[in-house]
Amino acid sequence: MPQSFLSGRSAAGDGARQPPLRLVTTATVDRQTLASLRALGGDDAFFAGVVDDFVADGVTLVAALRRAAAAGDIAAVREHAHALPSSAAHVGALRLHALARSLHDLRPDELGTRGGEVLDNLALEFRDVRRELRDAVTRPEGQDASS
Amino acid sequence: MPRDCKVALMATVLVVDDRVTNRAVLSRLAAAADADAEVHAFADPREAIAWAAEHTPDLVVTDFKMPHMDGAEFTRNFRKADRGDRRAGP
Repeated sequence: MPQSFLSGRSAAGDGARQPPLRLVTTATVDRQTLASLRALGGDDAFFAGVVDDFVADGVTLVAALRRAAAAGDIAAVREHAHALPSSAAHVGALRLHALARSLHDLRPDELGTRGGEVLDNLALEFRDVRRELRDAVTRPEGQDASS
Repeated sequence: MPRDCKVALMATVLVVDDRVTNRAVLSRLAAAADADAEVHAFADPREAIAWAAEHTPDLVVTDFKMPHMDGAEFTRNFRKADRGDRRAGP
C-alpha cells in the first residue's frame, strides 16, 4: 500500500488541501473478521462463496470506476465507490473500505486532481485483498486468527 | 388458546441489497439468528416489492442506495404493497 495515500500526502508532495484521510495501519484483511465469517457460514462452502462473489463484484466495480474516472463522470465514480465499502467491510478488507470511502468523499475538483492517484491505490489494495482472500479460502480453518 | 398448544413462530425476513456479498452475509446472519427463519433476498428492489405484494415479512433489511429506487422509495412502495395485516414499520 502506497504510504503517500495513507499518510494523507499527495504523491507530488505539494501542500494542497488533502481529503480527510485517517491513518490506517490495519492488515490488508482483518483475520478476526474472516474467522467470524467462517463461523457464520458454518461450512467452507459459504466462506468460499462469499469470497468468490466479493472478488467478482470487486473486479466489476474497479473496472467501472476506471471507466467512470476516464470519462470524467463524477456521479458514476461516486456511485461505484459507494458500492464497495460495505462489501469490503464484510470480508474484513478495512483499508479497501477506507480507500473507497475516501474516493467517494473527494470533492469534484479533487476528483480531477487526485482521483487517479486514489483510484490507483484502491486498485492495488483490491489486488492485495483478492490475493489474501484466495489464500484464506485454501487455508485450513483455524489459521485465520493466528496468522 | 389451550395452555399446552404450541404455536410455531417462523419469522420471515426480507433482505434487499444490490451487492451480492451483502445479500449473502445478511441472509446468513438472519438465518443464524433464528434457525426457523425463512429468508428471502433480492438484488432488485422492484422484485422485492412484487414479492411483498403477496407476502408479509416480519423483518425487512434494506440497503439505501440501490439501482431503480433508493431505500426511501423502496419503503414507500413497500408500504403501498402492504396488504394491511402487518404491523406498522418505522
